[in-house]
Amino acid sequence: MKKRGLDLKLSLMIVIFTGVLSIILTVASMVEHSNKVDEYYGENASKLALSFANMTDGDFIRELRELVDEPEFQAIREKALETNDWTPMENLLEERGLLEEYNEETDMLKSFKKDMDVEYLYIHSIEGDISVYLMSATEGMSALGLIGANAEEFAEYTTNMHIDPTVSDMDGIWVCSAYEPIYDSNNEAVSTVGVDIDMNQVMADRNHFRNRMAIYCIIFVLMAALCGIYVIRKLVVKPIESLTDGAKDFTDEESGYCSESVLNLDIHSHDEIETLYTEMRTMQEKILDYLDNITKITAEKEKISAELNVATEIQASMLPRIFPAFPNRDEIKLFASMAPALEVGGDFYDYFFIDYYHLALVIADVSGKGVPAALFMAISKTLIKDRAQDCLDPATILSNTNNHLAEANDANLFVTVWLGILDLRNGELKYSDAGHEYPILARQNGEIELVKPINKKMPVAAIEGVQYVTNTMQLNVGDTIFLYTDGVPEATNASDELYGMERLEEFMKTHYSLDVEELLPAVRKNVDEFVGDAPQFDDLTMLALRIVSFAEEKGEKTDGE
Amino acid sequence: MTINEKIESDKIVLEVEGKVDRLTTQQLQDAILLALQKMRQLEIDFGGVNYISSAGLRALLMGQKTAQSKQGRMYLTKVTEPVKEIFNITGFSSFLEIQ
Repeated sequence: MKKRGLDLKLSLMIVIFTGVLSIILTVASMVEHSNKVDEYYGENASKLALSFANMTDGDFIRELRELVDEPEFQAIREKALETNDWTPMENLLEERGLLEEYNEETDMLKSFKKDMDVEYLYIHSIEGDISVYLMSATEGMSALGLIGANAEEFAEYTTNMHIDPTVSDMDGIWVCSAYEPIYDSNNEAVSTVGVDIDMNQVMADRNHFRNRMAIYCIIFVLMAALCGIYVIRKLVVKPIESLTDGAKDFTDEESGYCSESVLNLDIHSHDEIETLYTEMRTMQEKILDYLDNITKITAEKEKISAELNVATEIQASMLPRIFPAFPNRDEIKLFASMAPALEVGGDFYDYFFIDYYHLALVIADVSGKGVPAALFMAISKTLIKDRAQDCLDPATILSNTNNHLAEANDANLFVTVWLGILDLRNGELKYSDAGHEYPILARQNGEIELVKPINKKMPVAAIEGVQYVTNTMQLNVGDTIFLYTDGVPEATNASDELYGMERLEEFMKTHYSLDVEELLPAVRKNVDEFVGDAPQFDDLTMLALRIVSFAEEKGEKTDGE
Repeated sequence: MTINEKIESDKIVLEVEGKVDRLTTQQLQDAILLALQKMRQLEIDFGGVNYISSAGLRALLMGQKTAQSKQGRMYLTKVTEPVKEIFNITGFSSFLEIQ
């Protein structure tokens, strides 16, 4: 859409308004003035007509009128008109004894016309459709007996009487006409005096006045429009433009939230513009504050994120990650891996020699996710390892750890733990299960079984005073034990299906013979293929141990690590 | 997951339906703790639940502990096989009262 400036719009309104106003005023004043002037002239004309009528002898006029009706007069008049010799008419008037008074009256007409500056002065009898002219200041004898048709508006006047003055255009000449009756001695109106006053000058003045007024109006309208434009530009358009520029500067991507844009404008107009400016200033200040806050928050977030990364590294470094785990021990092959779902997870595994023959295996899953779970995991892992230093009974280790952790556990976190201690001399595995998934045991011949304890107990730290139970089972050379957390069987695909124990067992059945270093990535791959594009919700933690041979009794025990 | 609370004369019954996982646990936990504030006896109808995550177990643990500390009682009814299996694996069946 084409943009029109506010100044243009408002000045257009001013032009229209002042234009209409001045036209109305001019027309009204002209009409008023014309009426007054016409009235004035009309009064004058009426007075002149009246005074002349009073000066005129009515009886003489009546006789004159009667004379016109005589056929003899009409014949003489027609002849005189033809020959343009008015002597026979004079003779007739002489004959009737009217000539002397006729001449006197004519002189009076002429001098009255001259003295009073009247355009036309005449005596005629108005008789409905026609007027019978008797005398005229300008026409002389030819006027006597002249019969003229009356204008339509005169048709109502069948007798001589006072007629209100009128202003009319008589063949290009503007005149003001007035008519007053002449009375005879019987007080009968016998004829009418007609007075026409020249109004041409008045009309010319009037036109001149109208033209001048039109010019004045145009000048007035233009000046009003210019003043309007100037005032609107100064009061409205300029401040709005500077506000617009300020706002543009503020949001401009290149100058980037220029803090001086609106704040530094100087608007003190004490009107709505100033209010708008104040509000925009406040808005800008608030946005700047807000930006400041956001920047701080972002920095804070980045700091937290960096710290979380460090936490992830610390957590990862807490788990033994160097493989082969025990390069000097040929009796076993061991591999473990953890892939946390969030930056820091709650799963952990651990393995360590308690003494030369006893290898401890730990896999655990802290309830919950993120930093709290990771902290809890760190404590749990440390405590279990600490308690295991001088103890070969998994139940005792877990009971001690449990009592320690459950004592002050306001967050009600808990950790499922499977702790096994393997005697490498004979394959005897003592284990205690605190609410963890059943490990999978793959015998050398491919038989798969779940390691189910007789007594399943609550996870560690859930409640105080749990007496964990140690179970014993026998492992043989070539057997593999696979430990994992619930992230494996509970991996979920896009259609909300669980990976499940059956798939896991089936996979182990067909892949148990892989080297442990290959087995875990293979499980991981299988799970990933099942899950597809669905997001990973839980940590995937696995540990696999295979017995290669039994350890031979040594005379002197040394620490395995 | 949806929870329907029914208040009876001597107990509150929470009918839970759906998956109790890490997204819905907070809702269950709030419902259990609120119910135990109102009444000392709480029955949780688990008939419509076929999966509970470790976070969900934590909510039940907190509920059980709260009930015990108030000399109240919290028990589960109509527990489905998959959930029973989870309770067994995690050892919670030795701690929770399951009818």
